[in-house]
Amino acid sequence: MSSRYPLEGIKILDFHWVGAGPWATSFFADFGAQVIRCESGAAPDPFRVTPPFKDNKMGLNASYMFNMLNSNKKSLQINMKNPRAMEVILPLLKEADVVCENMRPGAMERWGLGYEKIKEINPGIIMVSSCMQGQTGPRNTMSGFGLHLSALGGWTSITGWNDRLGIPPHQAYTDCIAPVYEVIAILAALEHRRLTGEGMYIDQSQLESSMGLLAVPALDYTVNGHITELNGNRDPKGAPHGVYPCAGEERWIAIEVFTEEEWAAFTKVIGHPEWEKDPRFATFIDRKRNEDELDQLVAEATAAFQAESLMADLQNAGVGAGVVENGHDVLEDPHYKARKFFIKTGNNEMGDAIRFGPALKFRSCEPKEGYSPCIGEDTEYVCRELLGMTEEQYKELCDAEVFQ
Amino acid sequence: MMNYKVLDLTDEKGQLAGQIYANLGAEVIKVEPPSGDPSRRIGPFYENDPKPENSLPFWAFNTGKKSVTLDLTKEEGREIFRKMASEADVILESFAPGCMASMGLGYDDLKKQNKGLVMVSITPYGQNGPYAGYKGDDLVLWAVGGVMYQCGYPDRAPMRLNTPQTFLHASLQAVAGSLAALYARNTTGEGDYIDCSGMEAVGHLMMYEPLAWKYQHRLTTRLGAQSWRGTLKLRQVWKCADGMVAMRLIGGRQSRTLKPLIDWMVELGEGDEGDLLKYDWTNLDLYHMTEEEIAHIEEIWAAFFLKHTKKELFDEALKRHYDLTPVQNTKDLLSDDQLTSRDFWVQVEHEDLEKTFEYPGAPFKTTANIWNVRSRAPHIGEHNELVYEELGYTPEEIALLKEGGLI
Repeated sequence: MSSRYPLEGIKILDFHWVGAGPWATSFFADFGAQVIRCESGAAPDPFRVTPPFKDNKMGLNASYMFNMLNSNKKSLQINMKNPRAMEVILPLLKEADVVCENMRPGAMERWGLGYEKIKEINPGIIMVSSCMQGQTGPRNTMSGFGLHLSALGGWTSITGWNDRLGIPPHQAYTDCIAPVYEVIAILAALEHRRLTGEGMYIDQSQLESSMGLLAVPALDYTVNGHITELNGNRDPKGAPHGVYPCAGEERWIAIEVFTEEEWAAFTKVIGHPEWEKDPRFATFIDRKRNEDELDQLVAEATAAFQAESLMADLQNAGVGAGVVENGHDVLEDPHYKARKFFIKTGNNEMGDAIRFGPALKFRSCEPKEGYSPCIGEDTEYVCRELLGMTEEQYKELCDAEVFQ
Repeated sequence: MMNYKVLDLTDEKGQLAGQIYANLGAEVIKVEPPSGDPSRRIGPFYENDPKPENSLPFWAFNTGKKSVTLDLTKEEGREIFRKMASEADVILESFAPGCMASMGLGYDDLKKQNKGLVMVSITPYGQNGPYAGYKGDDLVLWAVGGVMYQCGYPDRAPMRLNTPQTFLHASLQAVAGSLAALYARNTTGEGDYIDCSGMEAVGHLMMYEPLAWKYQHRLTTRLGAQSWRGTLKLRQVWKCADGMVAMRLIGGRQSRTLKPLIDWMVELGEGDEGDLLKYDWTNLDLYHMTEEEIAHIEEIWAAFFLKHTKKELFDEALKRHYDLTPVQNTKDLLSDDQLTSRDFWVQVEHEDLEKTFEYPGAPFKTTANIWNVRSRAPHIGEHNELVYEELGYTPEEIALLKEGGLI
């Protein structure tokens, strides 16, 4: 494998924290960019103190969650409230291609680092501000969590059973969408700069980014006036189409039958070949009409099977099926293993650990399997090697309590 | 601004990727079989009329693209495609693994005449590995990927969302990866091949679960309308007078984010005397409260919310600053104050229908305005003449290609 990574040469000054922001810059760090996290020791990134921890002991360098999103980055510990912090930050901004942050709107301005100011220092810079609902508008500074944004963004209204309350689909779902759009925004801005020489400011609202994935329900409303509602696991294209219990505790299998061939194969594997021509289920329309009964019978039948073997048998017969994998299953999953989805990380205090790697594979390189930085681990490197400070200059800033 | 030329061979698995390129200014050509892309058969449909030109998912993910038809099952069709590919920057495809190569259109074939080509394959499980030949649509991939297990009610099956998500996540990865490869090409002059898998795009959303198992031997179980906070089960969604709202008890200093609601409830005389005020809402000691105490507060909330509408509860939340949001549906989103104040929704003209519809707008705003929804999704082969003439075919030759069933 070549040792060249596609994003080598890009320099990112990263004021992100918590989940979504660092998730975005982890893509850059994994593929060769230089990402410098600017971290406060007084108000550390909450992900540094998010469990699980090494040996179950909380510590700034003990969180496996922090590793997950911060591998291959550098950590500059800096107290932005100290006026002399600018002696480090301004020269870094001058050299940076990208500066990004996901604090509440207004925080960067209070440090004197609004886009207008940064642009004076580095006209070609690309600045990203990512927050829950955008930098402007009546709700720009509204607080809340993933729960609230899932509700506000429409996700909770389409996840659930039609006889019960809707639920958030996946903790902080919009946090799962915004990071990749941020990566796309930055790479598109870099291309724009290559062609025009112009930098730009990017205002990302997590709420707005997530709407791209809600486009079909949105159009169904704007075009047809139809409001998408709760519908369990059903799908207008298939039946049976659902999640059914298997042998053991909390073992489940997802099954998708779309065609008549799949239906015929399904009935054989599940041990009920007589269903194929049963007038209640013989055609797609029959199965849709009697879907409650069908789901009931399928659930009774699957309960006798072991989930993994039923998945293999159905797939080998040409039917889409998959085990509902939990946190343990995914670590043992043969496909994830074969494709090396989980890779090495860790840090210099905890040693080796694991994380999931990128969700795509380049022909030209493997993802980096480097550690995440302990807090402030690269402060001296950044000052001395990158900024060329003398030992005295660096010590003076240390004494002035800049790196706290 | 972006000058790339993108060929989009994908069905529903990759169309969002091509659309993002189109919205960023690239020229994106959707290459469809002469009968139209199979994804055009997916509903819901315009006016519920299931014609290939009426598929709303197709509309949703193909704005700004051109469409040509081309029969890749015939060698002459493949020859035309090779010509197109020799000038392309990016090819997006979502056929089964090995399918492009079997047609002589694999990355290794195409890069011979275009070494800067970036090619992306989007498939359910990726190009290799034991599941590579398996079937998987949204439900199955959401399950095996690892995010479904925690979603649902404890007494029923785990669940997905009521609109497919898996391949939208995979498509986002496809764009990020191919833009990264194009960035590298500026230095190396070489393209790249990128293998995107729906299962891994889903797996990438898991975050906590595999770590919780590996390092704590813990699994998060489904709690439906409740959620875990440590070992506590806290209600997170509630019925109100005209729908639902989302809100959750929270302890410690963050309980201050609930205090304005408590104050409002007390003002309105909710709860029995002192019921709500006996707790310290500036530093709620949640972990030392009994299950009964928590249930009691939640009962008072439940009764209170039922008396008020989503709008009343949210208006007051915005005024008084407590963390509560309405559970909005798509109708609510179209008139959402925050989205409309930022001009999020955009009008897309369907001049063929003499109508204009609102579509989701930019996922990020930029001072250089690099994101634009330029036109409705194309009809089948709508740009055949335009594209094939640019490629050097004369109108007579194009007529012959049509007669031969190639386009």
